[in-house]
Amino acid sequence: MNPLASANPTGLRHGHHGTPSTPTARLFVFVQFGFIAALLGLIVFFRHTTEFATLSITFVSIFLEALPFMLLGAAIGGFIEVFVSKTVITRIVPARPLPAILLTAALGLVFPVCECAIVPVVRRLFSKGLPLGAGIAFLLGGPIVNPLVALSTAVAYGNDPAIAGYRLASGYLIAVIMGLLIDRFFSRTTALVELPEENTGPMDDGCRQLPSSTGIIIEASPRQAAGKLHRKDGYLFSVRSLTPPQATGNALAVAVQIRRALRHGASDFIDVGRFLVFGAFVAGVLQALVARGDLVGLFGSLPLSVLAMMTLALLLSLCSEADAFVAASFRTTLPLTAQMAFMVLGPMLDLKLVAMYFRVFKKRLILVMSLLTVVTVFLCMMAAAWVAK
Amino acid sequence: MTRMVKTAVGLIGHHLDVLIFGLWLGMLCWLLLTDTDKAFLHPRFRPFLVGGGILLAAFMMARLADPQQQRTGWPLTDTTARVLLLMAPLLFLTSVSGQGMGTHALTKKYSGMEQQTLSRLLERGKSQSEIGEHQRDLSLLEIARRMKQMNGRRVVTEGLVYRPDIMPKNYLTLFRFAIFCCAADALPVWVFVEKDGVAAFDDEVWIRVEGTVRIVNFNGTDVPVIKADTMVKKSAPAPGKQYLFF
Repeated sequence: MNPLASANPTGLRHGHHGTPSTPTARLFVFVQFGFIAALLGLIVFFRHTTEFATLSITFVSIFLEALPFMLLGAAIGGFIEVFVSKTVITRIVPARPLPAILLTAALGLVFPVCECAIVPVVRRLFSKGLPLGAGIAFLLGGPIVNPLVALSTAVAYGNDPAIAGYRLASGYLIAVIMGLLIDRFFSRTTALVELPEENTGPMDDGCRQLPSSTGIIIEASPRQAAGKLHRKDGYLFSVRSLTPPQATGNALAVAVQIRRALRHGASDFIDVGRFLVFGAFVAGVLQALVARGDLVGLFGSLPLSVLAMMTLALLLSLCSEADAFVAASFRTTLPLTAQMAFMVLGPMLDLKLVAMYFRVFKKRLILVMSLLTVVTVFLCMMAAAWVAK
Repeated sequence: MTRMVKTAVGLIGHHLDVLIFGLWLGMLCWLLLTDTDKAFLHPRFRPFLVGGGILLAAFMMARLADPQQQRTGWPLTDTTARVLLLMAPLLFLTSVSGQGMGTHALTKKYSGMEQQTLSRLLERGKSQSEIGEHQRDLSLLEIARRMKQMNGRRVVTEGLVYRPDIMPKNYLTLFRFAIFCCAADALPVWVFVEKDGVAAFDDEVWIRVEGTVRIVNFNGTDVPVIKADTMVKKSAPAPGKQYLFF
C-alpha cells in the first residue's frame, strides 16, 4: 500500500462525515430516517396513482438534471480544498468588502457554474477564507451572471441579446446588494456551518504551515494528532510516513493529491447530495399539487404578477439554463418585469437550493438571506418597471 | 450463519459510500444504454450524464483506494441515513419506470398561455424549413410551432386524450409534453380534435389522428383544431419516446 495514502499520525480512523455527537444532530438523523420511511410509504401505497407518476417524474428529473453538476461542483470543491491555499484566495480577492463583492458577483463570467454546482464550491471557498459577503455575491450572482445563461436566455427570447443583458445586469446588481447586506449584518461565525471534521483538511488548521506540495497526508486534526507528529527540517511528518517529500517524486505527489481531492469531493457529494434529494422531492410534491394555472389567476396587476412569478420560481426549482424557456412562455400575457423576476429569483432561491444551503449556512442566515433576496428582487423589479415607464 | 450475516453487514457498513456511488453509476449506465434517460431529460443532456458517470466512477475509486473505518453506533447510523436518502431517487425512478406524465400533469402544468406563445416564439425556429409541403406526419409541437401555416393543411399526429366534462361532446384535447431541459420544465402542447364519437376514447389513451387543421378563435385566442377523418387507438410508446423535445 502506498505509504502516503495510508499515512495517519494517530493510527485512528475517522468517520468522513463526523459523528452526530449533539442531541440536535442525533435528532436530525431520526428526522432523516422518518423522511425515508415517509418516502417508502408513498411508494408502497400510492405508486399506481397518476399523482405519484407526476411527482416521481418531476422529482427524479430535477435530481437527474442536477446530479452531474452537483458531482462537478463537489469535485471542483475537492480540488479547491487540496490545491488552493488560503493565501491564494486572499491574494485574489480584495480585502475590502465592496471591491471583493463587486469582483465575485461577476466571477460566473469566467467560472460558469449553475446553482447546483456552485453550492459545494462556495462551501469550500468559505473554508479557504473567502469573505462572507464575497461568497454570498458569488453564490447568488454566479448562476445568472454567466455566459451559458446569457446564451440560453437570448435563445429563449428569439435571439434577443437585450433580454439576456437585462437579466445579467439585474442578477449582478441584486447579488452585489445581497453581498453587501449580508456582510453588514452577519459575520462568518454567525453565518457559516462548520465543515465536518474530516472535511477540514490538515492545511486548514494547526498544520497549515505544511506545504501542500509535499504529498504528505495527515488524516487527523491537530488536536487528535497531538504528540504524534514529528517535526523535521521545518516539516511535519506522521509516524508512518517519515519520508522526505523530495523522495516521493512530483508525479506521485500529484496523483496522491488528486486522489485526496476526489475523496473530499465524494464526501461533499454525500453530505450535500441528501439536501438536493430533499429539495427536489419537495419541488416535485408542489408541482404535483399546485397548478400553474392557479398562479396565473393571480396575474391581476404588476406587483401581483411579479409576486406570482417569484412564487413559481421558488416552487419549480428549475435549472438556470432552462428557466428562460419557461419564462418566455409567459411573454404574451405578462409584463417583462414579471418574467425577469422569475429568471432572477429562481437561480438564487428555490426549494432545492434552500435545502442545500443548510449544509453551508446557519438557519438564521438562511431565513434572513431568503427574505432579503425575495424583497430585493421584488423591489428591484418594481423599480425597473417604474423607470421603464 | 449469524457470523456470516454480521460479516455481510460489517462489509456493507464499511463500504456504504462505495455502494451508493456504484448504484448511481449503474443507474446512469442503464438509463443511457436503454434510452430511458429521455423519459426524464432532454437528449442533449446525455454528455452531462456521461460526465456525471465518470465522476461517480472517480469518486468510487478514490473511496475504494482509501479504506474507511469500521463504523459502528451513531457514525454508522448517520452514514446509513445519508446513503438511504441518496438512494431515494433510485427507488422512485424504478417504481415509476415505464410510465410517463399524463392528464394529471397536464392539469398541473397547463397555464393557458402555452399555445399562442409557442407559436409566436417558435415560428422563428431553426427547423422551420425542414417540413415539406406534402409532409403530413407531424408532431403536436410542429403543429403548435407553425400554427398559422397549418390552417387547411392535412396532418397525421398522435398524443394522449383528455376530455374534461366542460368540453363539447364531439371534442377532445390531444396533448403531449415538450421538454426544454427536464420533465420538470415540460410545457403541454395540445390541439383540439373534433369528430363525432370521441367519447369512445378515454383519458390517458394514446391515439393517432388524421384530419385537417383549422384555426379557431376561442375567447380571443387562436387555437388549432383538427377536424378528424380517422382516429385510432395505439399502444403507448416507451416513456423515452413519449415526450417532444425543443
